[in-house]
Amino acid sequence: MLAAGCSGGGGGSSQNTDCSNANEISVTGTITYDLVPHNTGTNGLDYGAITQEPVKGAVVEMRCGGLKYASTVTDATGAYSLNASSGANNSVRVYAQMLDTSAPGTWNFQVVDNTASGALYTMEGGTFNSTSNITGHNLNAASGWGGSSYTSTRVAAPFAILDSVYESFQRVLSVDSNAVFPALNINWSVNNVATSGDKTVGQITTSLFDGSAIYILGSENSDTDEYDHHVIIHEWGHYFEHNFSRSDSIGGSHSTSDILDIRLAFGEGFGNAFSGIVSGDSVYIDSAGPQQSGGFSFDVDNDICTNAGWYSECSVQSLIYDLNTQLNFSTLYAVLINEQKNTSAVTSIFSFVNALKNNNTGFTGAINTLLTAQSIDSITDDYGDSETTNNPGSLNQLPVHTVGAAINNICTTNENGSPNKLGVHRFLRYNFTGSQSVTFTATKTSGLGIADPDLILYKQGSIVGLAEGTTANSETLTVSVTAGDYVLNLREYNYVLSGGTPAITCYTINRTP
Amino acid sequence: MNISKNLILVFSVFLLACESGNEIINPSTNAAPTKDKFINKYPGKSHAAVEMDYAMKKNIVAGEEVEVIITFTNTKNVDYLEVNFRLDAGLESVDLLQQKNFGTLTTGQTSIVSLPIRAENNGLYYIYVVATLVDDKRQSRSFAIPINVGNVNVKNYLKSKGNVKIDASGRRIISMPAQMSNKTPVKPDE
Repeated sequence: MLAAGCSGGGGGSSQNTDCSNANEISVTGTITYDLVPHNTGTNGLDYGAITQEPVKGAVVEMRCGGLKYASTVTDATGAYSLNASSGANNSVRVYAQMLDTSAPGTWNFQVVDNTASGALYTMEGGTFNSTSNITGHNLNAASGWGGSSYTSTRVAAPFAILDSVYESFQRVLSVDSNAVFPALNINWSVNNVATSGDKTVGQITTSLFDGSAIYILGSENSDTDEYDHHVIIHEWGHYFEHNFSRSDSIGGSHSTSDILDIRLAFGEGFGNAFSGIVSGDSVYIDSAGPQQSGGFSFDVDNDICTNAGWYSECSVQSLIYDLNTQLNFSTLYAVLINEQKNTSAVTSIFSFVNALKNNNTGFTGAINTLLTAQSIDSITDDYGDSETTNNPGSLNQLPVHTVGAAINNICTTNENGSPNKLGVHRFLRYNFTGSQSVTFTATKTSGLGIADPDLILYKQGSIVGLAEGTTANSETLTVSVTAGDYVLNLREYNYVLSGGTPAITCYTINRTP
Repeated sequence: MNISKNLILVFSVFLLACESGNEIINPSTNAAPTKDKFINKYPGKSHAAVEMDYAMKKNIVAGEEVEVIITFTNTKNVDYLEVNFRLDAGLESVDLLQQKNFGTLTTGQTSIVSLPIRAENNGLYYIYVVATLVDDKRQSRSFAIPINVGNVNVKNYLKSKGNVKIDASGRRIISMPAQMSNKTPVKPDE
């Protein structure tokens, strides 16, 4: 006997509403969400082609009398099976959360609302009361689309995001079954807009990973990313890189045609390539605009890049995508969690490809061919010393890492833009044979009337010393070091703040002793 | 338009730049440069090679017409820049440009739009902007410009969060309604 929607046991009903009733029934069903696909002609969302897709790996709870009665997680088809109290008022709640329920749990991904104190999204079915087993107790998260706008709750959005995360971490598990994923919150809200400000009111700048959590745009008629599969995976890729590998990226605004700081170029190119690798679809689509009807796309498998080179996000994504095809993800993963994580250089295409070549000597020729197609000289070391031909702009930015105790003329520039474009930051490398105190000085020799150089010393990506005073035209850093390789980052802070008129400012760098 | 130019506030990182910043020696590992707190340093999604800045009067009151000056700077050469605007409900413009096209632009060139806006009621409103660069391909970037009329507490003007509640375990959740399909009771002997 089934009494869906029954609100209680009174009114002459003989049904038992006691949740402690020893008699149980079995309830099975499938959890789905409305997937709004892209119109590949416009790159916008196509609400006329919605399909219902399984909610995989999500926490499902049987509730009785308003309290948890039993719980499980959905399988890869969205199916669940739970016991319920016979003849009592039961309901099913689905959490926008994927949780490894084995001990010790190795993942916990949840979609929360950053504008509602981090509340976890859930969907709930109606109350039912039965003394017989039930099959086909299916719940679907609806898109909320009403024909020309969202007219009801966008229930599907958190579950669509969860699906992209599911694909991402399953891809990692496919090559490393022992992977342990730090807990991650993905913050999504209908209030999330593309402006910088207070994240608790939705002003998140853009869809991004902030070093601990992911934020996803959700503002209707402006920019929603919950169905932009590649965007979600790209951001999850940043989470992966941060936690499993190492990212020295300085972040900030970027496009595929920019001439970027090499740390940023690698991180963003990796994120784009990873979205293609995980999804099995090399065409990255990002929808936006009124009714989410427009957008843009690019193919990470496309080898033709504007401003191709070692500083190009596009070149990096093309290389990594092709390397994944020619080798495999397991091979790339091994480099990411080992050599790339531990390199003494900054993380870049140089450190990644050098390790890949060392580990796969049989592919040297093939890898060199891919590099040549991206205007990158054959990579033979982590620092980019092999790069001798491709220098963008008027300032000679080669070598990528300058070596020497006394450098007479190393220059910064904003000619490629700011604050994260190539030339705003320059790199120098040092090796110390033992523990000592060392002093670095930067003194302007030409360029800006009032320069503001900063010095940041890194060891394997960690800052061990920084000097960022505002004394005009010079900077001094004294720091204790131990044996090993270090990278000194010289940056001109005026170029960090502004692109402005393209200019070049040069310095001498001295190290004592 | 009744704009008091001398009250225009330019929202720029320059105004926020820190004047301090003494030398720091051997901070804790992975300390971030303090100057960087004024810079967007998070890795986000790819977008068109265009930046946007805006300026407007601050302390906007209901019923007052305010001019928002929006500046676009493309960071690559393009055949043209197409900008689409949309206003939140309740925010009006006597000169609403739903779309503005700029011709061939070279790297670093700026394109400026002046948009007069007015809201009759206090609240948080946004101007939504999508800037699309077109050359051999199209690539876009979305922006939102917040307009706080009446210096309201923004948190009181957010769109509905749904049914927020605390569950029995003390966890804050948002409860949303599911669509249900037919349920099939199974006979006890099955």
